[in-house]
Order: sequence, then structure tokens, then C-alpha cells
Amino acid sequence: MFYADKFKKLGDVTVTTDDGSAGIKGNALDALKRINVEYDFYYACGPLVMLKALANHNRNGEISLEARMGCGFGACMGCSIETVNGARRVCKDGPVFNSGEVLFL
Amino acid sequence: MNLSVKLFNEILDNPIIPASGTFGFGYEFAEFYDINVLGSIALKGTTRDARYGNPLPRIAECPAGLINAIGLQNPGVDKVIGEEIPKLSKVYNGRVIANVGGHSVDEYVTTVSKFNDVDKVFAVELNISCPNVKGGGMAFGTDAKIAYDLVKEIKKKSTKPIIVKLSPNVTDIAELAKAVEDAGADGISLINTLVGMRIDIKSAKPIISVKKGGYSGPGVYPIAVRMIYDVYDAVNIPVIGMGGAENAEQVIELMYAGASAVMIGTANLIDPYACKRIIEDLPTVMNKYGIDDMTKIIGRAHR
Repeated sequence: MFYADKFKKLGDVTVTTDDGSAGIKGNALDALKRINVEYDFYYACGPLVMLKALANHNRNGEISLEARMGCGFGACMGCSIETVNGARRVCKDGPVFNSGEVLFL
Repeated sequence: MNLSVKLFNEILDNPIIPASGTFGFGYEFAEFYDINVLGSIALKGTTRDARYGNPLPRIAECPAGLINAIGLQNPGVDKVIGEEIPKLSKVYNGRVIANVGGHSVDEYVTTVSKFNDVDKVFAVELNISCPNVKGGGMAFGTDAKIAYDLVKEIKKKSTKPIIVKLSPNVTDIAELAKAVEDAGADGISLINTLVGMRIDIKSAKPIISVKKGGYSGPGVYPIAVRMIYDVYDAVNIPVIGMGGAENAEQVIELMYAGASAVMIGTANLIDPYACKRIIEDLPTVMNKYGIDDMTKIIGRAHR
């Protein structure tokens, strides 16, 4: 578990693990549903399938995407995603996007 | 010392041209350096209609290069002419090479013809060798008869010199080169990427979403040298060489093989300053090997 102690200095922390070896068994979305926390806006990073599930659960947040990139500065279109505003490059236009903006293909 | 070369009626300050698909529409690179140092620029592959391209992942790392399967993502020819080229014109004074892909003869003819009135474009490169687009692309570039017919139809409608970009995924590249020359092509560029594949060691599934893609980078360089050498022997029209070149020495070697100019591709993705560095290195390397005029070394290995 990286930096759990550092995060705890900043506020309430809920730990989840896929295998249940620490904290809640499941992913961040499972935890979100279980602990019934109140929030105005979320910031998320992680696997694309989880971010997709999160965005479908609540669009009021920002997600940080990862993609295999060819160049990393906007030239090769290797990391383009589809959004409601057309194709956007994770490297140059992101990596952070509004949850409601990304079309998960 | 002369670094300039001539392509059709266009004088280029030097033979270095970023290759299509590795340089976007050029202006992204103006954030790194003054791109006016470039000989010219080959624009991102353009189709009649806008295309998102393939799902992710589109990139897979390889020894000595990478596989890409972008799938011709572009905003469509009208936006390329109306928006992308004007943006590039603000940061680049020279004229450029448009690059056109397609699925049918009609689509190619329509898209190529739209560049007839675009003064910024001095030639159109036909991508008949894209391995990443289903039902087209490479099919046009692996059958000599189909390639001949396509170029013949395009030449009827286009007022710009036509460069045909050939696929290395063929048995006899010289046959394809002769076919497009017979059809009226003004020049040939090669090589496009080699069809390749990677499989993820953990999941045992192909890394690329569409399974296979085009391999490029330093690993393809000796193949490029050989194919440029073969095509130079086979045709009398100018050959633009490319394939894994990363430095000034390799540019000279490709010109010895028969290239009239050299496109730099994957090197731009590894180092955005690659073209600028090669151009700056050229005079020193020319000096070292007693070259005073780049036009005099074209095809030197054949003499």
C-alpha cells in the first residue's frame, strides 16, 4: 500500500483491494457505494473499465486516462479517444478529462 | 556546399521531409523549433470523410521500433484544407506534400482533386500502402493492376504531381513501381510500414486492438535501403526514400541507394527535434565524406 499514511494526513481515506487483503474487497466504485460518502465532485485514476463504470455511476467528476502513446506530444494520434467534442489526444488534450465528456468505446 | 534538392518543380532547401503520420499537420512541432528549416512536410494522411480511426491500443513497442495502427484518423479533406493547412501556414512558409488515403477509386479521386486549388500543396502523396484500414489502403498497393488503374484515374483529375507511396509488404516492389510509373505517377515514395504484430505476455492477447499494425523504426532501415535501391533501378521517376532513418549518415546512404529526398518518420516520435538535428548535422557529414552537392549523390551506389 503506497502512501496510505500520507493520504491519511490530508483527510479521510478508504482503502480497497481486489483480493480483500486490505480494506474493502472490491474496487473504488464498490467502496463508494458501500460507505455512502457525500461529495460534490470526484477525481479518479485507474483502469479504463473502472473509470467507465464510475462515469456511468456519476458524471460529476474528472478522470485521468492512460494510453499507449507513440510520441507523447500530439503528433502521432496513437492515444486518441472519442469524446462528445470529437477525437481528443490523451497526451496533449488530456490526460484529465471530464467524466461526461469521454465516450468509452 | 549545396544541400538543396529539386522535386518536380519545387526546390527544397534540403532533402529532409517529416514523413506522413509522424508529424501531424506540422504546427504541433512549431512549439519545439522553427519548422521553416525543413525541406518540406508530408501532411497527415487525409481521407474524403472524417475518420476517428481504430480503437485503442493503437501502439505497441518493439525491439528497434514500434507498431502502429492509427487507422487514418483525420478530420476529413475539407477541414484539412479549411482549418489545418491555414494553421500550418502561420508557422511554415514553404510548400508541403498532402497525403491521401481511401477505400475506393472514387474516394481517392475526389480527395486528391480537392487539393488542385491549394497553392500550399506542391504534390500529393497517395497512400496505397496503409496496412491499418480494412477494405482498402494496402490492397491498392499490393496488386500492380489495381495500383495502375487507381493512379491512371487520379492522374486524369489531379493537377498536382502525384507521388505514390509503396508498401514493402509485396514480393516484387519493382513490379509495383513500374506499374504506377506506367500509369503516370510523377514520383514514388517508400517504404511504408511492414505488417507486424505483438502479443501481450500476460494476457496472451494481441496488444493492438485490431491485432496487427505497421512496424517502423530503426529495424526497417536495411529493408528500406534495399527496396529504394531496387526501385531506383526499375523506374525513371524520382524516388523519395524513407524507413527508419535517424541521422545524417543514414540520409546520405538512402540517397546513395537512389532517393532524391528523404522522409523521416518514427525518429520524430522518439525525438521531436530529429529532423532539425539531421539538417544541422548534414553539412558536417557531407564534409567528412567529400560531398559538396546533395543532388550529385542520388543513386551513387548504382554507378
